[in-house]
Order: sequence, then C-alpha cells, then structure tokens
Amino acid sequence: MGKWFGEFGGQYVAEVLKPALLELENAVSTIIPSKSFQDTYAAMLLEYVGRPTPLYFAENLTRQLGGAKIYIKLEGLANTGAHKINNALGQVLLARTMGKRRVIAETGAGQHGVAVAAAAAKLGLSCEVYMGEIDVQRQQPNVFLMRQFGASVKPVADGTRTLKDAVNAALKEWVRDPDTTAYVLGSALGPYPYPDMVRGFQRVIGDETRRQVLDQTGRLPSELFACCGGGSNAIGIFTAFLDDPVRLTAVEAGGTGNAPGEHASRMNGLSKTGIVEGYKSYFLQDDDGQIQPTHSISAGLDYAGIGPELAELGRTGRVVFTSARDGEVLAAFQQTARSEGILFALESAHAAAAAFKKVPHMDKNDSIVIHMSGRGDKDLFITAGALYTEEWAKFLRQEADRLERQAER
Amino acid sequence: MIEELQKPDYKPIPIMGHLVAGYPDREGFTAACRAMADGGIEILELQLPFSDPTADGPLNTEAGETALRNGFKMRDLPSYLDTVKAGGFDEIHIMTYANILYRQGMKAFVDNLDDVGVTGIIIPDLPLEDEEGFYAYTADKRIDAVPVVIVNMRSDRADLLKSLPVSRCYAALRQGVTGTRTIVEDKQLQFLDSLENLRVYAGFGITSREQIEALRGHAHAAVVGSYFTSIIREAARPGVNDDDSDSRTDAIYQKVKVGARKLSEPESGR
Ligand SMILES: Cc1ncc(COP(=O)(O)O)c(C=O)c1O
Repeated sequence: MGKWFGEFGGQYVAEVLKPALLELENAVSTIIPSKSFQDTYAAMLLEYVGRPTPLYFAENLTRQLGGAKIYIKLEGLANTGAHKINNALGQVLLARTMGKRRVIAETGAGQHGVAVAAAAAKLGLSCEVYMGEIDVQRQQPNVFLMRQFGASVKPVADGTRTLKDAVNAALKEWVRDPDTTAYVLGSALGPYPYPDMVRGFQRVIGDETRRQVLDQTGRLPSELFACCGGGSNAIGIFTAFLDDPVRLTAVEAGGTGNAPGEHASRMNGLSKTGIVEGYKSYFLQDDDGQIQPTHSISAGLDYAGIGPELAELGRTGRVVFTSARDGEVLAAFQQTARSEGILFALESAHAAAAAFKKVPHMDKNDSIVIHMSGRGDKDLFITAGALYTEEWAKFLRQEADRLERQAER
Repeated sequence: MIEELQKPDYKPIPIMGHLVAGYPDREGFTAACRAMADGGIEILELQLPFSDPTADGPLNTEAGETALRNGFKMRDLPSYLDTVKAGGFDEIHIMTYANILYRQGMKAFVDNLDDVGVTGIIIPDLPLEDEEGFYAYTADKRIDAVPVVIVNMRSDRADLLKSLPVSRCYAALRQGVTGTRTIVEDKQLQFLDSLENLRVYAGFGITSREQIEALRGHAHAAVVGSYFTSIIREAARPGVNDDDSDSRTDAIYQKVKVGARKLSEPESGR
C-alpha cells in the first residue's frame, strides 16, 4: 500500500505536476478519512449508486456448464452502468471538498467519462472529458450520455488516439490549471496517490462480495474472475480476498492474436517494465521503449499499461493472469444473455469467457464469482455490428437516410 | 548593428534551440540544424521522440509522432549527433522521457552518451527523488544530468534540488506544457537568481527577443523550442513544395535561419 507496490508505482512526473499531486496526496490523507466525507460518500453509494449491488446465483449457467456453482457480482447494475461510478463519485466529492470548480477526466470505453459526468452533474462541478478519437467513434452512445450530463467531450487526436493518449491529454490540461481543476483518473494507475486512492474507492465491491458470498453459501468461493484493463474493477473485487485461500484470476484482452497491435495482454510475457504516464509497471513497448498500439474488442481493456499493484500481484503470483480472445468474449456475452437474461459489458465478458472455460473442470461443491463490472447496453454498436453485420449495417443506413430526410424537411 | 554587438559591455545571452530528432524528416532536420547554427543559436537541445510525451505541448507532441511515424529509431541517434556536431554545435543536450532511458538501462544510456560530445541529459518526467540512479551515474562522468525545475517551486522541493550533485538545471518559467507564450516577470527572475551555483537554462514559451533580453543576467541560456517547431511545421507543411524535396529543405533552412536571427540578434535600432 502507498506509493510503491514492490518496485512498481511511484510518482514519475515532471516537476510542474508535483504541486498538484502533493496537494492531492494531502487531501487524500486528511479529507477522505474524515467522518463527514465518509458519511456523505456512504449515503451517496446507497442512494445514488444503488449499493449494495447484488451477488446473483446463475443457476442456468451452473447447470449448463456442470461444474462449480457460478455467482455473478452484478456491478453493472450500479447507476451509470459500471463499477466506474464508485471511484468517480469519490474523486468528484473529494474535488468539491477541496474547493475545485472543475473536474477533468480521461475515458476509454466512456464508462468512466459517463460516471464522472454524472457525479459532476450531481455535485455541481463543471466537467470536461478527454477521449481518443477512435474511442469517440466506437463509443458514441457514451459520448451522447456524457453530453446529456452536461460534460464537454474533447476528442484527442494524438498518438494512437485511444485511452493512453486521453490520459496524456488530461494530464497536460491539469498542468495548465491545477488550482481550480481536479483530475479524476479512472483506473488504479497513474502517479501516486491515484492507484492507492482508486483502490480505496473500489474495494467496496470485494467487501460486499465477501459478505454476500458468505451469507449465501456459508463459505468462501474457490476462485474470482475479473477482467483487467488498468485494473480498477479487478483490484476492487480482489482486495477483500487477498489474505484468503481464494484463487484470483484477472483476464486481459487477448484480442485477435499475439502480434504487437493485436491484443492488450501485458502479463503474459509480451510486455516489459517501463516508466510511462507517471508510474512504473509493465507496458507493451518495443525495444526502444516506444509504447505499442493495442487492440481489443472492448475499448475499456485497450490499454498498453497495467496498474502497479496488479503488476506486483501478478509478479508474485498472488493474482493469476489469463486472457480471452475477441471471439470467445462475444460468445460469452451471448451465453450470459441467453442463459440468464443478463447483458455483460464486453470488458466484463472477458471474465465470463475465462470462467466458462474453467468451470466445467471444477468440483460441483466449489463456487466461483464472476465480476460483471459493467452492463452491455453501451456496446450495442459493437456487438450488433459483429453479430448481425448486414442487418445492422442496413439499419444504420436507413436511420441515416431517415435523419437526412427529416433534416431536409 | 554590428558595432553594437561588439561593444565590450554587450554580451547577448546564448540561446539553446530545440529540435526533435527525425522531424520533419531526416533531410529537414539537417537543414533546420544548419539553419539554427547559421542563425546564431549557440546550444542545441536534441529531443529524442517518445510515444507518450506527457510534458510536450501539441506542436512537439505532433513533431515526435511524425518522427516516429517516419521510422525514427534509437539506433539513429549517433547519426543525428553527427549532424548536430557538423552544424557546429559544441554544447549539445539530449532531452527525452524516462522510459527511453529505462528501457536501455539508465546506466547504459548514460555510459553510451559519455564522451561522444554530449554535455547534458534532460528528462522532464524523472523526478528529483525516485530518479533511478540517474544523478549518481552521471556524477563521475563528463556528461551532466540536467534536472528540470519550475519557477517558484515549493521550498522543500528547491532544497531537494540543492542536495543533488548537479551543476546545471533547466528551469521552466511557468506551469503548463511547452508551446504557449510566457511573460517574463520579476518573480521568475528572482527564482532564477536563487539558483546560485547552477548554470541555468530557462525556457517555456520563449518566442521573442524581448523575453530573451529579460533573462539576461539571470540565466545562462534561454531555451527556445516550440517556436522553431512551429516554423519548421509551416515550412514543411503538406502542399508546400511537396514533390520537390530540395526546395522544401531549402525553405526549412531559410525560414529557420530567419527565425533564429530574429531571436539571436539585438533588435535593430538598439
Ligand atoms: C465495464 C468495464 N469494465 C472494466 C473496464 C476496465 O477498466 P479497469 O481494468 O480499470 O476496471 C472498463 C473500462 O472502461 C469498463 O467500462
């Protein structure tokens, strides 16, 4: 805990960013533990986020797969549709308490952006969200939602035009005006104190899950499965179980293959230690140290780095890493929809895909928990496009025509 | 004007011009480098492109991306250094980001650059603490670590700087990223004056002779970066001399030289 996780983590930033980070460090250690902050935050988690989120026994999937009992942590039922709101609300509340007037954020899939925009709307701060141009294109529904919450979305044209470039852009904007602005980072990464603070706001997921699973089954599960982009949902559900005899499996984006640019699996030996975006961790990079492009069917896992705490937990073997290919992810997405009437976000469907491979080989007396970190409504344009390509293309053309005709009238 | 310059009490402050290796391309870089030297720039800051440059403004970010897209590799560095030296620069600083050094190994990177005519290494995202041995590796070498500090940094941070075994530092004249204009005022100058015993390179948003004059007596050199990137970008813009690389290179040379002279020569009528 703290600034370092083994050799990973740290605060590798330019001197210009130091004052802002030192101010934030101070706020994290004085404001967050205060009773008034904790009371306000707890009330909002209850009434606004809708906590606790259910732990659901997936009876049909359990029967079909014929192995361990499958439980799903339905974090996607949280307001705004993903675990991201726990952290967004915490950081925006902190920003307001610190007297900031404006929050800025980066977003990949758009879920963190939507959560920050909602929290800023609720708490009365202005909000700007930086988003890679490619993500803006593939996650239009979330761009729309952010705008509805009054945020302005800033497309980022730098670099690979995805999440890492959005992080860079947001950092630069923060340096420009750190006095009135707070930077709300969306995953358990970046310079200290972010990885520590984000885990602090997300660990509620695991604390709840542990209570719920003990209530419902009388014992601990044998394994947890969570998807892993930057790592906030994974560290969020894992933290409460770190000292338990529970296998913790993090599932990375296997994409379409193992060549550079085809995946975002950092923990399978393809990455190297590096210092990027303010922290030391494993990064997908070439021999010169240039960050490589990544690919995933899910924008939220499409990132070349991994949070420092998970990097260390992976190095020591406490967390086991695996990956799921795009095709397996789509199949898992369909299977949970058909069997249980539950729509997984594509990110979370990575966790389901890995679990479904393992469960049939497990004992019937065992139980496992799959973390559904988000729900899949936001992915409509990707899933429909992938599963019903022609029909969907036809629909989109018709809609475009209809809107044009409407505009002409 | 010439007579003015030769007045014994007139000592213009040297300028450290900044170029991104590989930008706008190999030939364009060479032309810009020669033009800077011919335009009176005395010190060269050679930036090695990095994919995730958190302290660069939009112009230098784009320049670095262009260089990488054109295929810049670290193994090209010796050839770029040759170009810079051939331009007549005898004080050269390498600027890049921590990951580039970390990948090669901090020590190996420092060793490789020692004794090849490089004066200093500038790494903005390597903090004064947690510096991966950078200051120790450079301490007994001819090459110097050049920490980056900011005007009016907290006193505990300034003390940290004073505790380092360094003889030079790069002072950012304001917060923010590179590429926007800075007004040089007393508070910046007082801070520069407080950096006793260090050779101070002061920059960020320097685009005019007036700003450079204001630094005289307070800094060892004025750093000028985005100003040149912007000139090169304009001269190398697609659509300008596209299919005639000679005249494109020539345009870069001419414009950079004029731009350099504007900064390096005292204003006419002084
Ligand atoms: C639903 C969902 N799950 C997971 C992630 C990946 O982020 P992290 O690894 O920080 O949980 C995202 C990111 O946008 C997301 O939207």
